[in-house]
Amino acid sequence: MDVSSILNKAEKKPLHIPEKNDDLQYDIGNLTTLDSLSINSEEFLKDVDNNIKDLTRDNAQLLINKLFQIEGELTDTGVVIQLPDPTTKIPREKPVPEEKPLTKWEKFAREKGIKKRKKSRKVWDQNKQQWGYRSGYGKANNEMDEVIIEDKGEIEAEDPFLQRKQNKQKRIQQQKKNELMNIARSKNGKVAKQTERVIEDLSKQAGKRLTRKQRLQKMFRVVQQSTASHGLFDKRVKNEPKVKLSKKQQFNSVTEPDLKNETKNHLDVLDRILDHTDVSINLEKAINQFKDTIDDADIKPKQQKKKSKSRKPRKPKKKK
Amino acid sequence: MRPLTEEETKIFFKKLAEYIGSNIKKLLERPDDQYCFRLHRTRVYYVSEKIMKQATNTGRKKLASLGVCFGKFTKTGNFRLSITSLDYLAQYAIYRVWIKPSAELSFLYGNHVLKAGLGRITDSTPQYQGVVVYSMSDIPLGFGRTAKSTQECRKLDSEQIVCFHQSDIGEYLRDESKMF
Repeated sequence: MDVSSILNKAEKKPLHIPEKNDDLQYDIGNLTTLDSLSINSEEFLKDVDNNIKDLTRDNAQLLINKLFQIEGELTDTGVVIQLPDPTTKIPREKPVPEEKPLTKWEKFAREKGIKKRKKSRKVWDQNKQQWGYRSGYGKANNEMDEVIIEDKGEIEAEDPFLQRKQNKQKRIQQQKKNELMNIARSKNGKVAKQTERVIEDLSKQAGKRLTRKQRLQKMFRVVQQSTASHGLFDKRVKNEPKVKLSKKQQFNSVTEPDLKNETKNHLDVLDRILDHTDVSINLEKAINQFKDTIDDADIKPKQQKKKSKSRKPRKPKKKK
Repeated sequence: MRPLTEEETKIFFKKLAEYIGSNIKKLLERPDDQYCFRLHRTRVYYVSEKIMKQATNTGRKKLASLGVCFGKFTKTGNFRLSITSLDYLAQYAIYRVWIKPSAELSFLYGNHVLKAGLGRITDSTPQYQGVVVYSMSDIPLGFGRTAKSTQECRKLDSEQIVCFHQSDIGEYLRDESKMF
């Protein structure tokens, strides 16, 4: 069935073309049009329901007309057209995914400008005389597969096979450690650095320079208690030492009191307080005495003032 | 019950010194017996050594009181003197206020001392100084703080406050349930 012929016929009868200016904005990719001009507000408000229906029908017709203008392909199910890319920019639903934290090597490589080179997935295995994978199970050129090790005078270990095994284990362990360190660095790098800085400052203040091990131990102790529960409910790492909370305040013994010493301490405290509060010259008292003496006898004020100031205050006098 | 820490001692003595000044020494060094201050459930007690040692046999929960209560530490860490300390404050007070018999009752109901009720006042008392209040027959009635210095008191109207009420012996009746 040739659709285009039908379409051509239909075009001759412009029934499907609404009587309005085609000033719509189309986004065929999203099957959308936007009509921002057509409303004549006075007439529109007279019969809102029908007006909206008419407008929508016309605009939908215009959109469908546009769709039919796109050249389609005939398949078993009918005519199929390929929509162009959407033009309307719609905000994304989810936040932009965070960048993966760089591993230590990736960071180093970026700084030095080292770029990854493509390597072939398979390599030639000389012993097996066939291609094999570069890594993974049954990889090519696997030294662990060798049944015989040629002694070129370099072998020092007693059992070179065992040594190879051990070396491999070591490499695996190292890799695991590196991975863990990368995770730790990415997760609490900030926290760790801050804590480290605090501890560094503290040790500097104390005039000591701590060794790396001491610093780590101290930091560990700080971090252990850095949750709301002072680390009480934290998951423990294997062999992690117990959290030691800060020491409880120690009071002087109640049952075996050293009263003499206590009294002495109290007196010391008292002396310090009185030093602050006691003013050696009680000005008001001095002035009062000065005034009284003037009233009593006619003495020159200048001489009297000196005398009264030199007197010591705080002799309780119960008289007004 | 425990001895005061240095910080607590400082706060306590500072408050006490506002009323009896350096006479605190006389509380600490007594000729008759060794006395000390002990803290029990935020309250500070003035106890002889003998009673204090006996009190160590009583558990903290069961010990109600010992010696003479001088006051208590508030939850914000300040110290409040209580009326039970009046015996010692009255003995060693530096600045004193005497009130007329007509004003005694008013003061014992918890009102401030007005100029009209003022009998005598220690010479050269500064403003806002801690003072002990006596009746004219030298019976200690309570303590408070001066609202004006002695000098200013002379010029005051009869309705103006001379001494702010802080505590009085009427509390033994009014606050009987809360006191201990």
